[in-house]
This record gives sequence, structure tokens and C-alpha cells, in this order.
Amino acid sequence: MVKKFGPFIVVASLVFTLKLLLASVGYNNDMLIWKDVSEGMREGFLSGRSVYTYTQFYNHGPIRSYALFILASVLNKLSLHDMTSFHLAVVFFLSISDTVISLLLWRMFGKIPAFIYLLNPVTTLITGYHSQIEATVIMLGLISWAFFLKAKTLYLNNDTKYKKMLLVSALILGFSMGIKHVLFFFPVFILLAHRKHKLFSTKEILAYTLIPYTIFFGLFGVEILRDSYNSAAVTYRSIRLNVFEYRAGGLYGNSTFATLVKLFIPEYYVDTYFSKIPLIGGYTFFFVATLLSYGALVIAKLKDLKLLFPLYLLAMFAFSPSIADQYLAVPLVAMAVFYENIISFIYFAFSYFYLTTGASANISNLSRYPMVVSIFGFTSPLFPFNFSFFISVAHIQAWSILLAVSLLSQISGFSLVPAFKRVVKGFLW
Amino acid sequence: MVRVKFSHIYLGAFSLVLIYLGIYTISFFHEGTKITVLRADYNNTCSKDEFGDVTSKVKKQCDGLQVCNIVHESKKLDPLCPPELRVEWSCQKSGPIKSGYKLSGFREHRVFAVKMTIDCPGREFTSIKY
Repeated sequence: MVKKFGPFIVVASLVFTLKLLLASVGYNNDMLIWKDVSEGMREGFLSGRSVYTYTQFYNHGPIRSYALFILASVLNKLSLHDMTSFHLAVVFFLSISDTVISLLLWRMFGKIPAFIYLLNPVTTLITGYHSQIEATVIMLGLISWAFFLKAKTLYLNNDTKYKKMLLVSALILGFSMGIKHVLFFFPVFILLAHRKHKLFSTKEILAYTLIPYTIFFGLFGVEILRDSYNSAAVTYRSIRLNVFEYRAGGLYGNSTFATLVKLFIPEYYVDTYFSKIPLIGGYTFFFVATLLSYGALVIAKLKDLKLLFPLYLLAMFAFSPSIADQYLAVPLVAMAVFYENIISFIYFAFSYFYLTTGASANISNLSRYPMVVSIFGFTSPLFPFNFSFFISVAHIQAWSILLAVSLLSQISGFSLVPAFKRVVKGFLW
Repeated sequence: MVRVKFSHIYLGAFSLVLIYLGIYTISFFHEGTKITVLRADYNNTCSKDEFGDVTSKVKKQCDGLQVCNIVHESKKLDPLCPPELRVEWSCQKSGPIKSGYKLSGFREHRVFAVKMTIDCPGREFTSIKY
């Protein structure tokens, strides 16, 4: 056991420590918002304060606000009121999520994807410095998926324990959605997979799909009922504006995917006609349509069901109408699983260089002067980078779209190489 | 002969990057408040009399201080040839792995009477606003 997991434990401990060290170096605006939210929840949660009427900067499920309440209460009890302690506590829990994801990847996809995920610098920066919650959401999603696949195995062996596994999977998926809605469309993917592969009985799959949505929407209902500071109408309106109609500020409609949509449909028509669609108006309509179409195409040809989860995460990022730094963490599981595709390596490289010089995780700008590292006589630049090229999240999303298309073509059995050879032959003769 | 697999490239590249990140992060813990001048050069391109290494002079003036104002008055000032003073200094205090790496900063300045301020403000837990 030690021989098998020894290197993993050593590497995981070192990476864990590095993330905590990064957390003690600095923080950004998002951390200030979370600290403010946690203090607000600590002061008002037990007397019925809802995060949605407390601040407009909270755009996710309620479970995270409950976790921030618990965190702030514990830190308050320990008289740790400073930003460093808060950041370290957040990173501690997020780092556990990353380690668990790594272990699950080892179990499901092998040692190499596990180590790639563990060691990749994008996770290190997004967890250690930017400290966003994506890792926890994806960890819970992966745990849910592991239970689902186990239930499938038990079902095929006519073992009745599969029902308990299925229920646990649905509950964990709902919990994940209650934190952040990254996996909001995953139950639909499962429905599509059931249509093609007949996973369980239709009644069971429908129940499986309904449970996470019931939890997700039910939690908002709880918030509306719980809020003693405002009327139900005000809380409902805040939830509608800050969560369901939240469009990522100025980032919405400027992603590579949105730009591709604009190549075919002018922005005027998107704003005039498609914005009228309730809940999924504007570019969100194209995002949902493309995501579900991609899911249907992939599922039609997919032989190994367990790949569905990483493919979903990849598609969620690739077809997103808005891009923020923390979204770069969403497809990392897919990049680790499909590491043999060179595009994954390009994604990691571009994301790392972007995060070290970008807006919100601009860790290199913490340095007060250009740094040169000299290690045993070997000299190289450190931070800030003096590269002349500029990488944006739009470039990174473009590569993820390319990977999504590449994987779809592979799964469908369509290879671009024979087609390329025919084109070249056509030119030569 | 060792066959290099794609996974080796991943793990090698990632490990190297994490080592660099680790050094960068640890450097913040080694940010001291005492200047150590590594090198200082004065360059007056139009006057061969005022040119060269002034490290010992600047070192004598600044080593051990937190803030140091360096003034190097030029005897021959030519508007077409502003002199420049280049100072390289480190704020790195002793640490268990100091022998393993070295970090330094530098600044160049071009004015007539060369004035420069170098400092070692110490470690700051900073916020980057965006």
C-alpha cells in the first residue's frame, strides 16, 4: 500500500503545502468579497439573513454561503479575523478537494491522469491563490459519478444494492449543484445516455434526474422562506437577478464561443430575438443548445460510459458564452484524462501563462521588481514574465473547443488524416 | 535507452513549473528589510572620465539600510548625454536554502544629477485590485 501510494502521498503533501504558501502571499478582489460575505453570514445567518439580499456579488447556490457561515464562525471563535487566516482556511479545504479529485482520477482513469491533475500548475494557482470553489464542485460531481458507475455495475449483476448507490449519487450531485451550478446540465446528459444505452429502468433514471434539481431549486425555496430581513418577493427577485439572470458582468457574450456565434448570427438578432427566451436568453440559448447537441452526438458513439463526465466538463467550458479566470479549472479533469492529445498540453501551458500575468490571478504582479532565479549557477527569468506575446482566456477557450471537436471526431470514428491526404493529393495532381 | 513518453513531458514540465512557483513563493518569506548591494555601475557615455563600477561606493552607503538615497553628482553634464546609474540589489535575508537560489532587483535611471532610491520594504501580504 505504502509502495503504491507512497509517491502520491509525498507529491500531494508538497503540492498541498505549496498551495498554502501561495495563499499566504496575497489575495484578490474575490477573496475580499468572500470574506465580506462570510462576516455577513456569521452576523446574520442564525437570525434569518439570506446571502441573496445581503449582497449582489453572490451568484451561486446557497450551500456555499452556509459553508462560509461555518468558516467565519470557527475563525471568529479562534479570534482569527485577518485576511491571511481566512485565505489559508479556504485554500486548506479546496486543496483537500483537489487531492480527492486526483485519487478518484487514479481509481477511474489510471495513475497518469491522477498525477497530471495533481501536479498541474493551473490547479495550483486557481486553488492556492485565486481560491475559487470549482474544485469542490467537481470533486462532488466525480464522487457522484463514481457512485453512479458502481450502481450501474451492481445493476448489471442484479445486486439490489444499486438503488442505494443511485440515491446517494443523486443526492451528492444535488449537493454539488447547490454549491455552484457547474453540473446543472449533467442530469440531462445522463438522460440522453439512458436513451441510448438503457442504464437503469426509466422510472429510476427519471427519479435520479429529478432529485438533484429538486435539491437545487428547493434550496432557493428554503432561502426565500428563511429570509426574515426581507419579504419573500424581494428575496425571490434577488435570487432571480443575482443567480439566474447573472451574466458575468462585462464578460458575457465576449467569449470565443460567443464570437463564433456572432460570425453566423449578428449580435443585433441575438439581442433582439433570442434574449426573449426565459432563463436561457441571448447567448445562453446557443450555449445550452450546443452543449446538449454535443452531448447527444458524443453519447451516440461513446463506448466507455465513464468518459461522459470529463467530456461534459470540457463542453461546459468550451461552449460557455462568458469566460472568467476560475472557469479554467472546469475542464482540467478532461485535460488530465485526455492528456495524450497535444491540445491538452497547450491548454495547460496557455492557462498557466495567462494566470501568472492575467487580471485576477496575476501572481507575477505581486513581485516588486523583475526577478531572476539563479540556481546553482543556472540563471533564468522568474516573474514577471517578459514574454512579448499576450494570451487571453479567449485563446484558451478556442483550444478547448478544438479539443472538444477533436474528441468528438475520434469517438465518432472520423479521422481528419485521410481527409487531409485527399486534399493534398487533389492539389498535387 | 530511455523512451520518453508524453506523460514524462507533462510531469517534467509541471514539476519544473511548480519548483519555480515554490521558489517564487518562498522568496516572499525571505523578503527582508536590509539592502545588500550586489552591483552598481555609472555610465556617462559622453565622458570617458566618468564611467565604471561604483559598487564599493554605493555598497558603503547603502548596505544594511532599509531605504537608501543614492546621489552621484556628475561633473560634466551634457543635455545630449544624460548619465545613468544602474544598481542591482537584493533584499533577500538568510534562509535555509539561500545557497540554492538568488533573487535580485535592479533599476535604471537617467537624469542629469543621478539620483536613485532603493529600498527593502519587507514582506507584504498584498491585495491586487482588478
